[in-house]
Amino acid sequence: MTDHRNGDSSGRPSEVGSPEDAGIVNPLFLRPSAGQHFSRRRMFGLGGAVAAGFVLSACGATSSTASSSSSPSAAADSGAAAAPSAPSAAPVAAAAGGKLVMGIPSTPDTLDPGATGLALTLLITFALFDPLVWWLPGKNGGASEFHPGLATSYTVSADATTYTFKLRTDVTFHDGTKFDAAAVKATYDHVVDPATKSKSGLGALGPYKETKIIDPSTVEIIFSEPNAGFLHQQAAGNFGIISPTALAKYGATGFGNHPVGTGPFMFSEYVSGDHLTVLNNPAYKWGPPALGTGPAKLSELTFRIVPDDSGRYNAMQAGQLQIAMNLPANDISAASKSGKFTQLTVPSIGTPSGMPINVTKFPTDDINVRQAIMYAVDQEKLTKDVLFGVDVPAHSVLTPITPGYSKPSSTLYSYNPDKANALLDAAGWVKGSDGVRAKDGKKLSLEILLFTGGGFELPAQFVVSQLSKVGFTSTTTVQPFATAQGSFNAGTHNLGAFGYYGADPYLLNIWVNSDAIKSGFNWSHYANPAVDAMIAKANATAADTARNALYEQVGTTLMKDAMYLPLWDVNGAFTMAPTVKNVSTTLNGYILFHGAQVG
Amino acid sequence: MDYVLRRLAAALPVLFGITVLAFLLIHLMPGDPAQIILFGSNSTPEQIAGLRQQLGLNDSLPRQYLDFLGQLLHGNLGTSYLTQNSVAHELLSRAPSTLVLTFSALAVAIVIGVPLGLAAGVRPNSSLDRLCRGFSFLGVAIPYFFLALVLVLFFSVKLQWLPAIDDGTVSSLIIPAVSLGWGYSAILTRLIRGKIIQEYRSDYVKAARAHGASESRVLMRHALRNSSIPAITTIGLQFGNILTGAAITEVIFGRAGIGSFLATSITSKNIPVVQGAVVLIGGGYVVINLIIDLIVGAVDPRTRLATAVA
Repeated sequence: MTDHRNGDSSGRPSEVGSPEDAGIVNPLFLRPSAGQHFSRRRMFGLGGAVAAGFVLSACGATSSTASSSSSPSAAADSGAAAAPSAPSAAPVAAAAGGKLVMGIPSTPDTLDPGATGLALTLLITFALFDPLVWWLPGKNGGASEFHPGLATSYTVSADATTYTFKLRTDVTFHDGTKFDAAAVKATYDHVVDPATKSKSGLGALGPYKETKIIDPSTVEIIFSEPNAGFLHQQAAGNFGIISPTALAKYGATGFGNHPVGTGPFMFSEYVSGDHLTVLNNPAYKWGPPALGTGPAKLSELTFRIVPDDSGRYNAMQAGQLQIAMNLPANDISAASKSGKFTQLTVPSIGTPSGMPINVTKFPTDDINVRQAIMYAVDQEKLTKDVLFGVDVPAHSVLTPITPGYSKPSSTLYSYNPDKANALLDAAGWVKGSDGVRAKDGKKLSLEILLFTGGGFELPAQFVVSQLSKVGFTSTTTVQPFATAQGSFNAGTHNLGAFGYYGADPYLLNIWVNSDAIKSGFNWSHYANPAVDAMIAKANATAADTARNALYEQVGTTLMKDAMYLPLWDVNGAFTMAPTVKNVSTTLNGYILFHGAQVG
Repeated sequence: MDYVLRRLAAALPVLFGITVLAFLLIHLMPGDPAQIILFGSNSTPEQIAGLRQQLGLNDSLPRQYLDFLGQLLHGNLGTSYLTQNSVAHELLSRAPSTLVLTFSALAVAIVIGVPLGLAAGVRPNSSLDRLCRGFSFLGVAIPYFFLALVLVLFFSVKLQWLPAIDDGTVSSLIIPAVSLGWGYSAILTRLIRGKIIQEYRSDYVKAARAHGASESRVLMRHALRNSSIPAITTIGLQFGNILTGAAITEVIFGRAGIGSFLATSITSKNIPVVQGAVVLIGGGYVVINLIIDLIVGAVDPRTRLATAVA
């Protein structure tokens, strides 16, 4: 059955692939395909900066005595301790957690986080690399927080153009290279090196100017324009710090086959299209305490590529996999009911999956018609009946865990067919004998355009049936992604299909900005100079509260204008054997293995 | 020798056709290849134009084809859009998996199909024959991918005897090979059964029996040998089908072979991989058929003469 999260087999513009699994990088998340794609973003900000500056070291993990045992209190010490001389007791701890095999839906395009265009690659590279600063979900559903990574503290200039990081001095790469400011510079310069052919990292980096080495343990990352979203971006996975020695040895593209980082696992083997194995890094002791202390517990972690959805579920049942990623909703439902597996759903950051409403094409050029659509669709019923309760209903333009999410905007509309009917009546649309409304001899007819493999086929059918109850008629067309993109830009549709993974609300820039209509992702053809200005201002605002307030304002405006019909917030779905314990979650709907154990 | 050369000469136009088709793939796809490659990188029109130039898309079609062929003859199949790795390398690294699966399935087909066909053909309308006929009927009627899922549900999910997906072990090859080979064993059973019955009625078998040849000699020396020619030809023809089936089977079992690679590359418009896989699979098909022709020629000298006359 068609499902929104299967990795590849359904002809998705991925990669895969996706998925596949998988493929030409589809920048637009395409969330439905399991968030495997992600975006390359244009970054440009206008001036107008507000001040801010933070020091992170207050974040809890100051120092502790470097305990050689696997005691849970041996936290990441923030740089004061001397470089490790012997990772002596570490392997003992490592052996305890066993081996874990996880089934993933498509083939990674590269193992270089800076070059990849597939979000799925980041799931793997998070095990191999550390960012300067971690950004993790808050405990017990609280607000997301920054945690020290390879940097112990950072400051941001008032105009959000210069980020200064103080680095740990006790970190070594898997190949023995010592981590220092030069490695940070090499990493960021590598992303912008044309030879790297960076896909998502380059866009996520924005208006990068240079990395300045102040001293071996201090770097400045400098942007030519304000770039307030950078802290979120640098933690989102693309900017795991890479070994400059390995980079020099294997070259800008060769590094993707020989990844060397500082992470809790070391690359061991990759058989393209088949499986990838990483081994415990016994020296690892610089992870954030929030993810577990000391080296990882697992001795070995294997990602097995199983594009077929039922293949992953079968392999789970046969005991070959301990974790299966993004099973189809019906299998997840069956797995939960069987009582044999646990289910971890990880909310993802960015926009929800939904339908852009073209504000320039008849009849959705009328705000009353658009608002009627918003009232006519029941997201709760959609997620329950069509998506088997795996995903959650969406009611705004950003998902709730995304900074700048506007809570008030999510209550602007709720399912209310009477209100939809009233709006259409008031706007002069009269129901005919066939139940379809018409005005001035023209039917209330919608063109719905979907793209192959986007996972919208069933949800769109549901939307169509709901809309028909209040007097809409509609025709649905499905095109291959590249063709559909052209049609969306041309504006032949009333309703489209969309969903976008993005670590920072600045992603609004690429899908509601007026200059993204003809060639970008503004498939609502929404042009509002006030919104454009607010987004630009937000990204030039370093202070979190002020910035988020601007984004919230944008979200409320967009929902009032009814330019997007949010449908469901995509959750990363991980079906696990009950023996799997202590996996952590990321903000992009993925999981981390720092503290994971099997058995 | 002459026969060998003639068969070789006949294979060349087919190979030519395969390369032309593979080459044209990039032009038959909707959309500009350069835009497909650059998709998602917010490319400028200049970048697209530059890439078109680099890909040679501005040259005439025959010129582009000759370039493609030239690269092909040097073993260069281009670069995967997805991984930036050499397509030839990625395909060849997956070829062993596909070959192992294909030949295992073929082996299953022969090991099951030939004895059943013989047993059924020797005693037509016996209860054994009826059993074999029922088996072959089912074998032909049940699609291999359905059989694969049934076998997985029973042997992997329920009994947990065999792996459900490939994990590099021989045991993980059993269900794929059996499900893929099963249908072809049924075809072989039917074919050999019919042929044996026919041969048993022929004069030379009667003559052999009249000479006092033992039943096993009649079967093995005479009837089987004459039945083997259509069987070998069929196996050759089925090879292509098994290869195609291997693609689906590979996807179902998560096997990293050429077939699953092709399938995911088609959905992701990874054109160089699709081209390379088409050339490789098409070429493999031609080579296998050539080998079959040569084997048939060796087994049955009449074939060589018949071709010469034709």
